[in-house]
Amino acid sequence: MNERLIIGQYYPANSVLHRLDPRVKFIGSFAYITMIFFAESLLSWFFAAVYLFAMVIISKVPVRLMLKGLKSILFILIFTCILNIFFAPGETVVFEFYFIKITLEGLLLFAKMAARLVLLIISSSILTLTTTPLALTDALEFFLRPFAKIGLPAQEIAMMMTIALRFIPTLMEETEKIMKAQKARGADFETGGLVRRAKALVPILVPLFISSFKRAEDLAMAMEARCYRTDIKRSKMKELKFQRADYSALVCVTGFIAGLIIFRYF
Amino acid sequence: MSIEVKGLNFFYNKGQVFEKKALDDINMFIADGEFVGIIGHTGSGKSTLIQHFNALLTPDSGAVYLNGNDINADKTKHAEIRRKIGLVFQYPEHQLFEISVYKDVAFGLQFLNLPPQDVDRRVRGALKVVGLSEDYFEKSPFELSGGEKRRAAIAGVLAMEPEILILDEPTAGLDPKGRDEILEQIKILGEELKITVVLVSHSMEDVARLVDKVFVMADSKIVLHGSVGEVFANSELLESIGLAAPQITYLMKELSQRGFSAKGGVYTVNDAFRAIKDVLDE
Ligand SMILES: Nc1ncnc2c1ncn2[C@@H]1O[C@H](COP(=O)(O)OP(=O)(O)O)[C@@H](O)[C@H]1O
Ligand SMILES: [Mg+2]
Repeated sequence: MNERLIIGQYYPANSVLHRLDPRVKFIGSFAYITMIFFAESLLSWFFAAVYLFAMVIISKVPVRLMLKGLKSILFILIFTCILNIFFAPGETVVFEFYFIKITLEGLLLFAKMAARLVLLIISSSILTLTTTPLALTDALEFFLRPFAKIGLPAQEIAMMMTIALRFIPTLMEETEKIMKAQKARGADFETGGLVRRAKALVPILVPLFISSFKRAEDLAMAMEARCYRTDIKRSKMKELKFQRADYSALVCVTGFIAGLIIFRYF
Repeated sequence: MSIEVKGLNFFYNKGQVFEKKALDDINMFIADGEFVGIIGHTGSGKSTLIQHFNALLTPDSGAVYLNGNDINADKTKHAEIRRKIGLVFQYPEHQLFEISVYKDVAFGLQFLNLPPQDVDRRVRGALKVVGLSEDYFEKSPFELSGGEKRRAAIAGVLAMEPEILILDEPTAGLDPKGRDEILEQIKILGEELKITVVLVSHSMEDVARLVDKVFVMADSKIVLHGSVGEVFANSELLESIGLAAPQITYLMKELSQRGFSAKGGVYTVNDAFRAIKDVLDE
């Protein structure tokens, strides 16, 4: 049961990456994603790919799961591939067939774009696969904190996100349950025209809304009973604290940035 | 209608990280008109099993037969099958949505293309069975008490006039009075309509009072089945899986061990009363 409450794509494993402070992982991913836009030379691309591959290995997450994220961008990849290959301007023609003209420049442009997208997706997958949504929210709260000075309610935003994340699986479970219950009463959600299908949603949405409101009320009551207030600084049960591994990781990230900048010019 | 399950295995999240075997090689036969109980600890797979009976879940291997026909042979028949098998989910009150009790009970009937007077007859009949008088017809289901909501929801399933009635923990979360009323109605239903009834419960007392035959589930398997007497005679096994024979059975055992020679195999308070009375009358 508990396992199912963890949503997102989090994959529980015991790796260094899993144990790192979520803020460090945030910085690391952010740095990586920024830096791959600087990659230029073949060597820098190679460096970026090897670095990421090392991270995948360290994370102990099955490669299959890492690649799953790529499925969603397959369409974009194919689409840009076609656009780039056929319509990119260029002189060096590799292949010509009636109006189709494939140029070396077009191919290169596509290769770079594809590599960038793939690395980008995998690097953000590493972040979400090794970090629970709650830890991500904690990190986000930390990064939003400076904005509290200009009136951004960082704590409240983080609390809202935490609550939302906590209730997504509950809502999904509930939807499934209600759907099954209505199906058992003879309802049919799969056939019929658009209007009929839209109408078929009423028996699901009404109970879902009612139980959500009820739940929200209960939660608000429970929070108030524990003296939740928004106008004071809340302490945390688990303070985020840098460990030695986190400092090493930051060094590693800095190394990557430096490396990429250097390799860029070779 | 008879239900037969053969070599049924089922996994939740098959092939994913959180794969979980929820049913492990289930074999069972429930004859037409039988009143059976399925008991087991929370998480033993009871709800998962009964959802296979009306094809809400599809087995990963093995099969479910209704009157000898494999229900998963033709997926287009599923909606039809579900209309013949009334499944009352645990906490069925969460499925209420209409503006009046009457309309909610009539919800499933709209799919049957019945003439309006039949719909009316069935709705009234179902509400009468569960003991909701005409005063409730136009009330919003959301202003009912917990027990009344549950009865309204059960009526919604009964109105479909199912050939098999499956109830998943119908008494969960009710006070003793509500529980007794519902059980009493279920009992009458089984006797009057002569349909197959499957009662899922973790309460031995409930099961002992109503059913002819019991299947005991533990850890995704059926570990024991037989008549109420046969199953409760196995109190060690029941205890080892976190269940127990009804309290009254233990009391009677204790009595006979202390030399009070009432007859054994008593599972309900009424039987106990009679057994003790018999001894005292002698
Ligand atoms: N939708 C689901 N997804 C994943 N696992 C589930 C789901 N529903 C139930 N389970 C798991 O399957 C097992 C059997 O559950 P269930 O059939 O509900 O048991 P019972 O009704 O006997 O309490 C439990 O371990 C439960 O956590
Ligand atoms: Mg259950």
